[in-house]
Amino acid sequence: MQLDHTRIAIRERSLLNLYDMALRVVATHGGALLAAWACGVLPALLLNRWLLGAALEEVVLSDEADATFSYVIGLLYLVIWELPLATAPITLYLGQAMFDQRPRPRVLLGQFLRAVPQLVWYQVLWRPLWFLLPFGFLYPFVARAYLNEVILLERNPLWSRGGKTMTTRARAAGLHAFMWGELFLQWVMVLILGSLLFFSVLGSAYLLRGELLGEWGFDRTLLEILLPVSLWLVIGYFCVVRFLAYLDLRIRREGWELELLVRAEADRLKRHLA
Amino acid sequence: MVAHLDDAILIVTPENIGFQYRVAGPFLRLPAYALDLLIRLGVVLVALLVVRLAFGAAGLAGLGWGLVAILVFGLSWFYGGVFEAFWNGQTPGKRIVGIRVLTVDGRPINAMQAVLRNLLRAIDCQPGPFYLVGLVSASANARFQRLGDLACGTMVVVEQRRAWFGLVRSRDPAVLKAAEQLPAGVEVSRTLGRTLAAYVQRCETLSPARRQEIAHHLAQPLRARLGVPATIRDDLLLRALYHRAFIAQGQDERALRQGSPFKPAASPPVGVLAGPTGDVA
Repeated sequence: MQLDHTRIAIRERSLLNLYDMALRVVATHGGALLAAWACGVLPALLLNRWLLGAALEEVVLSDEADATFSYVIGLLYLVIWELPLATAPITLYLGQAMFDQRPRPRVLLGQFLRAVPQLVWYQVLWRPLWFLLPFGFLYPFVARAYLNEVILLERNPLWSRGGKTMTTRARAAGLHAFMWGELFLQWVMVLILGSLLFFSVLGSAYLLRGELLGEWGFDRTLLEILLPVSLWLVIGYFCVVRFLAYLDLRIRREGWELELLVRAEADRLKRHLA
Repeated sequence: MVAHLDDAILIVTPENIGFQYRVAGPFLRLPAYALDLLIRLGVVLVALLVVRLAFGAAGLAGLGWGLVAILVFGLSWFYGGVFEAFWNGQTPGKRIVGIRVLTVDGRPINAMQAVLRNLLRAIDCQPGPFYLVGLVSASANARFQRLGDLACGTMVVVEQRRAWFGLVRSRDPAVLKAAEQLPAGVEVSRTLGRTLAAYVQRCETLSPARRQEIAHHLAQPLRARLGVPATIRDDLLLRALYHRAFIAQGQDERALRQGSPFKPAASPPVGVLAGPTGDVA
């Protein structure tokens, strides 16, 4: 592995630049990212269909705005809860693809299984508790915006052994410290652009369905398939953006691009000395 | 060599001069588009006000609405084209954001290209107003060209001012003292020179602990090669070596960073730190 030969050019970027680069990453790694997306999202889609089955039936039968609203809100809650686990395969793939020409599924699966205890502890059990506090919903999205990347890619232990090893909690706290203002603005930007993109994808799918099949109604297919799939597609894209933003944060805060350069040069010198 | 994914593209002119541009993707263009939309809306609102106040009072409201309809048509179809033709590839929004339309070989666009790429926006914004065609086509090529750009051979680039830092002269007595302790006649290879230059440029923005952590990787093999005393900290060693090579001995750091070819020494001098390819400065 040549550390200074990354597949995505490492440099400081503006947030909008990161969104553009994410499009290039998606276009270049489309097939593999789609597979990673499906691995994480399909179980979530099925789980949501099962959990919200009754609410969906009520929407179809009653055709009332309240029932539709409850269904959509329920879906959003579930998606927010499932998001870290469902997007983990994409993050792991991108972490490998940064350096390796062809990430190996077996390696990715092993990394995922090793990260599951921490993902469940921090992201499935702890994360929802923040939503119970006033404005606590901001904490996971702002103060721990890149916790998934820290868990999946940096692989620090859950507990410190003898107080000397850096834990995931300490690492995440250090990475996000003094960045809350900027991360809050980034989150607002994600909300705005995410909403635009979501309505763009859903609207396009709705129009295409209408033109091709002549179905224009606000019906079961729209709520059961088009709405959640559009939502998860946009979330998948934003997972790529989040990965790039995480790299950008590490570059600015920790000189990560410099560390890669220095380590690569050290490897060259060591080989030469040997 | 691993292929890079980047938004920087190199254009080589027929005179064999290379220019590097950073291309602007859909999201970088979005603020410019939103600004232009606001300007167009503002113009239409002012026109509506004038029609209501002036034309209405004169009893020519019908004529006024007709003129507004022509204005809306003109703004919708030709606002971008006319501005880009006369403002060298920029609309007011693009000028504020700092982006510009160029041809794919780096030349200014002509009026035909300016108008056509804006007319073809009608296809890029399909289906409906959702712009998915433009988004997908822009994602699918390295220059972020939407269909209008592909048809006209144009692209949108970021106007950037590149800062050149030059040599970093350290005033830190510890660095100067450490530099004196290094072996005489030390020269660095091209890759090591680039790494040292990057380190010295960047290290001031990092905490001392982080600097030490990064420098430690390279300081280990450097100590083994140069026989530097352990009393010199890792961070100090890298900065001292940079000072020694580029300030005290006057090795051409700028040329190293640009990757210019160097004449290899007939026989490597004492203390040369060459990479595996032996690219000695």
